[in-house]
Amino acid sequence: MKKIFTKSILALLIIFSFSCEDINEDINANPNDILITDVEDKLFLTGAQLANVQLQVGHLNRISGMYSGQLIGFSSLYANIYGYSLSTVESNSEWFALYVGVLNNMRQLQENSTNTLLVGIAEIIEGHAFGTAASLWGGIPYSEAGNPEIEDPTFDSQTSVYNSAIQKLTSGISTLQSAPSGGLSQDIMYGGDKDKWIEAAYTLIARFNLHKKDYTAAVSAASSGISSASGDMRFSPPGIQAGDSNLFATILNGSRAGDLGNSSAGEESYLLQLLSNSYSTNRNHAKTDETARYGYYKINSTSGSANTGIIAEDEPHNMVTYFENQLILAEAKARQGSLADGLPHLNNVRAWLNSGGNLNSNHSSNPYKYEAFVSSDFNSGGIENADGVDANTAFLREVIEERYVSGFGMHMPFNDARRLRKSDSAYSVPFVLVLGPAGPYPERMPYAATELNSNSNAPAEDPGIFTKTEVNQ
Amino acid sequence: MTLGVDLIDTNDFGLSTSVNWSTNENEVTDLYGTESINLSPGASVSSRAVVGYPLGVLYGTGSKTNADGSFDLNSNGFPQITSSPMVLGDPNPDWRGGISLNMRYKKFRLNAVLEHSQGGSFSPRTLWVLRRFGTTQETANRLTLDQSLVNYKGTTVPAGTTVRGNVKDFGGGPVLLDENWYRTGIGGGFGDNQAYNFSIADATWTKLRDLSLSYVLDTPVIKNIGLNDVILTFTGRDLININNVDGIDPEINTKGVSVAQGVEYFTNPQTKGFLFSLTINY
Repeated sequence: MKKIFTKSILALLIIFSFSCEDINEDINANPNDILITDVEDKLFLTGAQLANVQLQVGHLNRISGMYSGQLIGFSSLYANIYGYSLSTVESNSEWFALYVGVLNNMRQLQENSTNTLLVGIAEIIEGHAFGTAASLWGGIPYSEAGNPEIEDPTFDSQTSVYNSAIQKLTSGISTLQSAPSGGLSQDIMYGGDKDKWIEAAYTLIARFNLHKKDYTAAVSAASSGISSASGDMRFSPPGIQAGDSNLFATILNGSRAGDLGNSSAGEESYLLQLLSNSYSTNRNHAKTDETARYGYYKINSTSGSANTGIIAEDEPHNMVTYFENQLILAEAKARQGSLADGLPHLNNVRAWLNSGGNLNSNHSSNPYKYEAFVSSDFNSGGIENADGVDANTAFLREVIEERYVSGFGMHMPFNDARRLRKSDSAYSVPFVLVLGPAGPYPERMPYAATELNSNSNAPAEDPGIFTKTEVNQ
Repeated sequence: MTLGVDLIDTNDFGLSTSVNWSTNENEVTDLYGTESINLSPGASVSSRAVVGYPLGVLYGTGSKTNADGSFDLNSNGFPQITSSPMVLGDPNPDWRGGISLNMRYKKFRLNAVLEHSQGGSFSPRTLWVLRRFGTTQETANRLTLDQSLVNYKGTTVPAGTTVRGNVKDFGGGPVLLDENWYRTGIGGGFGDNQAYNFSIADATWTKLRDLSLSYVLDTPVIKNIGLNDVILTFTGRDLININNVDGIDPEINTKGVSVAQGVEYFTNPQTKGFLFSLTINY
């Protein structure tokens, strides 16, 4: 009897153990932890591109716009930030976009996909994001980031992150050279056009070398950069559903209406003051008429939907462009040689502007004029040199001002302001923060509170927005 | 701890009472690599688990302080926000207690329950946000300055001016809190860039949780119509609510019954209740 009892127990145990296994199989598999083996590799691309869009033209871009005199924080959250009262929490979203949105997904492609087009694009997006991140924050985790084996990645120096980002871009170019091209609808930037990706990567390499003040390397890369405006990397809001619009329009349509803009109650940002004849600082003259661009740039802060210009709901965001590439060449070549080397590139941008540039149909019928400059325009007493500085300085000043104006909506004006502050103040744009505090102006974005909270290798406290990053010291 | 006593028990009169008292002390010791976990995501003042603090502490951007604990003021005499969020307070009360009283006198019955919660912090963010719109009692205040004062923007407002706002001394002499502090500054409104240490209130409250008075009808008339008795009762809930927060009940919690505590953001108040009942026993 006892034997039978023991046997029955054993039998039951076996039955239960097997049945349990069947029922609970896979119960510990995290359904959100998607690997490339679970889904098609190209589905990893779009989300990472959108995360990169957020990093390039999202909340921190609005802050960098305020800190370079392009935008004004009128009220509430943005007024606090404009007055330099901002906490590390402001960087949480973009930090997440960088490490989770971009890095995780792009590493999945690089490590597991056999599609060289996807791998090359993934490398370029990663390089784009991390070069930008280095410019915004300074030293950040990169060499040990994205590695699940390392819980607390160390912070690399800013220069080392720039160099790694440039290396990533170079590697992406080389991967794409032997890749097939096109037919990739998941690529919301270029549809898988590898030639456009390669050119954009070169422009990005030029951009990051410019940040490092390595003007020789900048010229070399920009020479293979974006060769026409049709190769611009722009994020066009798809407008498939409500709220699926320009990021700036979205925040003004939400709870931040009235809080941020560049023109309100007669107060206009320094950027607009450069464009309108109502101000003595305006840049209009016999060869230049900025009337249309003034209207295109002017923001109606009351709501996103009230806008018809650069932040209209369906208006694309510039990310990497032909005009930037040409202006890099104009500046770097003039620094290395003379204004005669840089002038054709500035005139290329003016020719593009004179063909309408990025003006949309709401503004392109208003007056604009960007006639080509000749070198004598920069001679003492010329139309770009009323104060009698040397011609090369007058030329560089004009190039930087064009970068400041054309770069609205990108991090470019903020990057230039910091880059030129130390020793190139003769070229830098002498912006002020209208309705805002006086200088010194911020030098970086705060690290994300989430990182400071969880990474034992993070500094105990953020170094603060006035601490110069390595390349700008 | 609970203690109950029957004090008097005669035919006509009965009196019993019970008291209870409780306290809870705890500390978060390890969060496996992170310093804090947000228990109430989505709010600028959150309730968190933070290593070295009791569970549920209030967490948000605060004001910079010097080594001696005083505020690190800017040149105008106003506080400056911390670069990162910090622990702002502990919503756990020091103790809670209650006393109940049951009294019977002839045909009357009286029951009362009084509850008290002592100490702890509370974040009434409704008040904080409404300061930005100038619709709280605090921002409604009008005063005529008897001395010239600097506001948050750095503008000096001359003596004799009548302004809306308040005068406060953060440690560097009196300053004027006007719309530059409450609306565009760090003293009210939305977002994380605010001196939320000033949003924290004392959560102490006392409530008459329950009061009921009954009368038992068991006259011959009642008996004659076949009933045992009829009881008429009036009950009131939360009739008295004493606390230090202007217009917000510190007992409420956005996250309801959860580990996240002491957070409030346009949360529905508790209801005060009046109940009349008629009980027929047959």
